[in-house]
Amino acid sequence: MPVGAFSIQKLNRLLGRVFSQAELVEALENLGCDVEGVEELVFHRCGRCQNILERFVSALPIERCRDCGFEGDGPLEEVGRDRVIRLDLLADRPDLLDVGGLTRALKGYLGLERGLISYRVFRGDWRLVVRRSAPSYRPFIRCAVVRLRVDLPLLREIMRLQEHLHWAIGRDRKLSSIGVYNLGVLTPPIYYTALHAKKGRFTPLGMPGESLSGEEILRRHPKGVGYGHLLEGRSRYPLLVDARGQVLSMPPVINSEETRLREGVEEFFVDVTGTSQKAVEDTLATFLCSLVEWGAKVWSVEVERKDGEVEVGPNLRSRWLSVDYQRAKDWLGLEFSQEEFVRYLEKMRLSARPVGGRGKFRVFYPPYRSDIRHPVDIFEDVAIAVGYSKFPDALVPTMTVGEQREEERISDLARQVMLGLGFTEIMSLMQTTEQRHLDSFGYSSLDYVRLANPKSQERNVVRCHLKTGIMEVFVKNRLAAKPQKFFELGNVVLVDTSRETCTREERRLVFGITDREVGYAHIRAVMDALLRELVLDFEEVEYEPLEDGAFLPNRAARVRAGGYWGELGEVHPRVLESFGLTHPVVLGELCLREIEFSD
Amino acid sequence: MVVWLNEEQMKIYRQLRLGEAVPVGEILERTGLLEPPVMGFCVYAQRQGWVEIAQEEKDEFILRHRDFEELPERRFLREFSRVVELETREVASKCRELGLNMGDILKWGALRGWFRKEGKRFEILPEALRYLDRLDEDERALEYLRSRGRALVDELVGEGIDRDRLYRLLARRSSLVKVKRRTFRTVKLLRDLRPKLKQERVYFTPEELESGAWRELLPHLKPYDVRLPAKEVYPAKAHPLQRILHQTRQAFLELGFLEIVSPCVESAFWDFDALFQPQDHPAREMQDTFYLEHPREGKLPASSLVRKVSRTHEDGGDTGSKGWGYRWSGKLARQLVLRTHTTASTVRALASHPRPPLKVFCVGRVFRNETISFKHLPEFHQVDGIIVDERGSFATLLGTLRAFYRKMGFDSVKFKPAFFPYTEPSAEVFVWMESKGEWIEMGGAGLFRPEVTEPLGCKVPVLAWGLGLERLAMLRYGVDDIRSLYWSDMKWLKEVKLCQ
Repeated sequence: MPVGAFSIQKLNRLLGRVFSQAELVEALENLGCDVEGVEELVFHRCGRCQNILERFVSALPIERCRDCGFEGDGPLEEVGRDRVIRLDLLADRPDLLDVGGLTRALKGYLGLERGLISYRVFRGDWRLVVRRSAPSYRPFIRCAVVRLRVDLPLLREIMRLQEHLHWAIGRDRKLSSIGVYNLGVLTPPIYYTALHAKKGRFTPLGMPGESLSGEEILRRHPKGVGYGHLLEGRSRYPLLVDARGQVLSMPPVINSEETRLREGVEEFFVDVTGTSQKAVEDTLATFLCSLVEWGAKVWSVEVERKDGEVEVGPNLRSRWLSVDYQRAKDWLGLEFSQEEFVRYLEKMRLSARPVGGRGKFRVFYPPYRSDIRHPVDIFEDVAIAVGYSKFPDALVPTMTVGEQREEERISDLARQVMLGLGFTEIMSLMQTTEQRHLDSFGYSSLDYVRLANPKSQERNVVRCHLKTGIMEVFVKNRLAAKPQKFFELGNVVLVDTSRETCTREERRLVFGITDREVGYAHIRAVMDALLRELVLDFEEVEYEPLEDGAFLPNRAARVRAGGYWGELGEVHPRVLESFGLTHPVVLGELCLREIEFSD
Repeated sequence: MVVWLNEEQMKIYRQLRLGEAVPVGEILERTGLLEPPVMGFCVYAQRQGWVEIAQEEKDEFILRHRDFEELPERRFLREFSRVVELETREVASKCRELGLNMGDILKWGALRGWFRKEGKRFEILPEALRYLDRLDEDERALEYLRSRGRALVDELVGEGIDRDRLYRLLARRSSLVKVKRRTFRTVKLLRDLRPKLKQERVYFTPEELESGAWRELLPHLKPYDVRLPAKEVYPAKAHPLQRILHQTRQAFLELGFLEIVSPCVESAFWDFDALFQPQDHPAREMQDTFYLEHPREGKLPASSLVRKVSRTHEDGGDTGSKGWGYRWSGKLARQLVLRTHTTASTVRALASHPRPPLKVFCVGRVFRNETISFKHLPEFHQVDGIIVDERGSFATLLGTLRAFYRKMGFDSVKFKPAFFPYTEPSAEVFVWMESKGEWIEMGGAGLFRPEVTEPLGCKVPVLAWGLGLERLAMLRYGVDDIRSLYWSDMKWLKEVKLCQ
């Protein structure tokens, strides 16, 4: 999860009132933000692409530009410092990813402003034409023209918000990605077309003076390397050009150097392309609404589709949902009046209007709240506005009867026996390795669960018996005093393709003793003791010789009694050797019950 | 007054003689006891004023090599047997010839007064001739030692060896002998204790108890100092984490919940899709979730249910929601994973019993593809629960969690807004940890979104939570490294307290 850093000074400036660090942190937490801490941030400027990079004061100075790969003599130029609140960013709330968005929410929560903001989009005369050649694998595009004087902090903020939206809504630029360009160097109309991967060339951002083909960009440019997989296997890449043929960008990878946004620019062109129409529209709306917090004015752009139809966007009008006041109270378990209900919503920057009495409301929400898809999302806003600490202590009044699982009841009996016999309980992980779980014991015919993507080869299978864990505990304690007596109760997973999940589980018990002198008779006595307690008719218990790689021949048995089955014996010295043990070990493993998954 | 002695002390006392110093060595020999208990008793007896311990230090000469034959300076003297003057280099060549160390000859010969060296001149002195046919004092001592290996200096003096010359010539000759200072103790009995002496009894024998003889013997039972420490023993115990799991299960059973389970190997359908997690959600990615190589795919439930879930993802279906707006894939839903949360079990229970009331919980292992460290394990335990109830609400959800943590010993519980894809409203749960002076995050909770409940046929609020349990165990048992919960170190398992 990415972490965002938000300038306290900037927040206070946009709020128009000075709040202390503690007040801001508390308000942000009550809004649902994950506050990581407060720290000082240092900004560096790349000597080549001019991009601004940031680091925490505790980190090493930046020597290499992350955007264009430039390396100067020593660290990049330091261009400023700032005190920031660090937040774990929330993928589910893309409107809280930047200072503008946080300010908007804080203004409502802290009582500085309330209700819905209405966003005005001026009628503009720019047009974007989607050419027939535009790639159909990235079909959606929406644009806007923005007037806002760009200074250094704003440039930084725009770049950061772009990145965060790419993560939160764009799923790393797949569903949507944003491009921003200096309007002053563009000639309308803009065309959405395609770049021949090998033949088409332009100068990508951060590489002035170089002209690269699309393929070269994917190979050589850091952004090409990072996002090239989205265009992999295509012969033509998405491309935006203006009427003079000036390239704007190759979405979703890189902009051109000539159209880059610089300090001092007063008007810019914004596009969002993507593979999901909803993601494209939400991304553009969220982006623009945050810029408005900084003082931006927005003009519409006409998009002429391939079929000749013209759509005018962006749409920053508020949306609405029908919400039932009584249902809100029931859902939250809280009592509040209709007036309070409306005030809570206004505190969260929404607005509400009663419709036809009887507690029906039309709740209006701004275009940046793309997380709202159902009335329950409105209920949550009410809960946050009330404050979670204000909820009364209550339980559901319905009477129900508790009941435990059968395997837990039997496990408790077995645990009682084992503790009574002086065995100490252990727990081990269910993930283990083929080498220790199967090869060591000479189990070659067992079918077991294998993982496709384990982080380490130390844990690449799921246990199908319990012997490995207890053997590893003997290894762990090999220098401690003997005798040692351990047991473990746990589930094992067995492959069974007739089941819904192709597996079944058993609750098993394993117990073992290690000592200078210990043998079959010792473990047999323990197994008998256990079965005497678990089985009503002990006469039913049957032992049969067992030939098995894990145990010594003629020193191992299979046991069966009243639905339980298991095996026990003296562990083969070959197995001891592979675990690095030098004292004899005897083990017993008993299946207590197959787990029944209810349906 | 009675003097209590145990059987061993009695044996020692019998070796003592009134007014006579008895060597400790003699007591050891006659009783067959080891020195520490014997000296322990003697020191105790001296403090009581019964005996007097005297000690004396004596040197003992120990021969290093029994195969020693002749001193080098004697060998050299035998070559000449008269007063002579030699050049130093002649001495050197003679030594080489005889295989002797010239340094030894010069040093020890001079010390004895046999030889003298001045510049390049070397003399054999008349004094040496006196020893031609008799052994020097140290040589006699060596002779004596050759048969015995070691001897006290008094013993050697008793053999008529001159003490001073012995020390001067032999004590520092470390290549031949070692001189060890030894302490000799004697014990002298000062008072006859016999009239007061009683042999203490530790236990009565079954025969004494049966015959009633214990009545006479009762006075012989030694009074104990009950404040002295005893030997440390420990009971066999349930695993500390297992105790937390048990207490958790107990708490929910007492609150009227039915216990449920679900498989560790789960289909993506139940782990993610049924919870309205879009198929491209970051949590489903390979770096967080364990996917199976074998077996790879499971089966989907009834197609009517699958259709409802897929439609909810795509456009909201009949739930009044807008959905996620993408093409849902059955293949991705069939993928098998190690369950990433026990919510998979509660959502299965909800699908089977969508009508209220229902209160279920599941304690089980969950799996995340984490690198193992002191903070993270690739598997850990959670308790998930749901309440399906007409009168369920966010307030009753928070109240239920407060009740649970009160049962676990935490009176202060705090909730903070959070955002999860399948609950609305959502909360993070914190408990106040007095010993750390901070709020500790325990897990998440919320009301299932209608996009989760309605496709399963449930129309009433569903209160849900998923809470971590390892952290609770770590806090309770003061463990800083999560791995140590599964290391099963015997010392820890033995010493960690049941009452903790």
